[in-house]
Amino acid sequence: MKDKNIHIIHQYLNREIDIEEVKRKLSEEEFQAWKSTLEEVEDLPKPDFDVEQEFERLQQKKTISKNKSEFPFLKIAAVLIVLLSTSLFILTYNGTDQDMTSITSSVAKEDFIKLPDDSQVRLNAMSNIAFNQDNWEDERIVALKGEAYFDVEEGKTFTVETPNGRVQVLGTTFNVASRNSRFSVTCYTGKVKVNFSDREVVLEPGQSIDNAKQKIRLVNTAKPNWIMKRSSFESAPLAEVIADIEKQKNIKIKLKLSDSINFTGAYNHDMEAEDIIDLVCRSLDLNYKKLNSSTFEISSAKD
Amino acid sequence: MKEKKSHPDVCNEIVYKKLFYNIGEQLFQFLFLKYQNTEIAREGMQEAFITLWKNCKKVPEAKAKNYVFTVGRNRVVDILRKKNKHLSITNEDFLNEDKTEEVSDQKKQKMNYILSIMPEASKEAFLMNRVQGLKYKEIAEELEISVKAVEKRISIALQTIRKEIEK
Repeated sequence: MKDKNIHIIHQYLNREIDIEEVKRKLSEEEFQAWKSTLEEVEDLPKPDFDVEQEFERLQQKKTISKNKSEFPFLKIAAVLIVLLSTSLFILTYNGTDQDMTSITSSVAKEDFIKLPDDSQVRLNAMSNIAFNQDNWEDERIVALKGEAYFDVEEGKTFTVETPNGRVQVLGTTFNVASRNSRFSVTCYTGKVKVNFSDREVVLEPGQSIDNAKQKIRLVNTAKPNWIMKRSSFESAPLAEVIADIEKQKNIKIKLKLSDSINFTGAYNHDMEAEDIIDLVCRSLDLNYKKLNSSTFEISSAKD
Repeated sequence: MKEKKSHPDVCNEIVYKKLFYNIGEQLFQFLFLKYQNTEIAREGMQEAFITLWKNCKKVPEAKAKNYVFTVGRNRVVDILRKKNKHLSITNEDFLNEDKTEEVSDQKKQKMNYILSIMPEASKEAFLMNRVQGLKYKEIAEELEISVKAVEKRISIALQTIRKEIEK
């Protein structure tokens, strides 16, 4: 189709002239011929767009992408991780004390437990706590393997025993976890006394300590990330991140990497497993394959 | 005062957020019109902004808009390739899905149809002008073609629209 006047339309689209000028330059007939086309191109379809919702979605994906060192990770996980082999621990508590109440949460599931004095425990996935119900009045002691968030009623000293450290409190909320080879405790309200590696530290609300850095740092979340259905990592070995994803999503991930890589970032537990893996891989420049509905394989980008 | 008084770059959360609020929807609309699929458009838009975030030090604020559009355009190509490979979803599936679900009124449907039959190169130049708001010269630079070639591509786009409307 030839149209010798199309350059006038181009001038209009290029914002050199306005519609009035287009009208002047074209004959009435020519203008009418272009009129509805111009109306269309000025009013192209717009799909619905909720800018706040989209920005929030972006923020979530953003935090999971690799954080550069100049962006200190603000939402630090409130975690206590204990340094001993966990199997040994189960043996100690479940093997010797026959009358202990033992509760184990399964993979990809969190449990909510009420203790005899109405203190509450939120048990993270793949965790176990044990306590003596009969003796509770005299001694509030809980043995923990895995990770748990405690909301303790006021009363006698409340103790969380773990093979590598002991946490003692009066009424308070705090988080204790016992996984892999790291150890940290965070206090949310009240005061928490932590004993580990021959040290005794008293934590105030908002303070956290771990055995890797051995010094108190501040956290700015009101509750641990996993209670907010979120996992976050700060220069954590990829294997640890993978283990967490496996646990939360009940999937298997095979790591085929020669080098060890650290990951900094976070993901929300309600994300699809594949999306989480995709984001982790993308941020670290790795590839992944979905082997079947619950098995993934992560490899370096070159393969 | 320890802080250096320099121009805030895109790494600044406020600058970044403002950018998203200003151009996020535009990019989304651009990708939607190009592919007639909201999921693909959303994914491409999100990834473009994440890439911007990762490279926020290297991208000056003034260039951020064209940067996310370029990244978004390229990323969608990858996304489609990946999706086609893994899920064997074709472009046509997307088209059919969205036409009925998301574009309700007739006029919008018509325009979406026109865009779906428009030659890719023409559609791209046309949307860069109409949605991204670039002048012909800027499109020429971006696509590394001549201004004449841009005119030609947009002419085809306009004629496609006109022909279809007159039908």
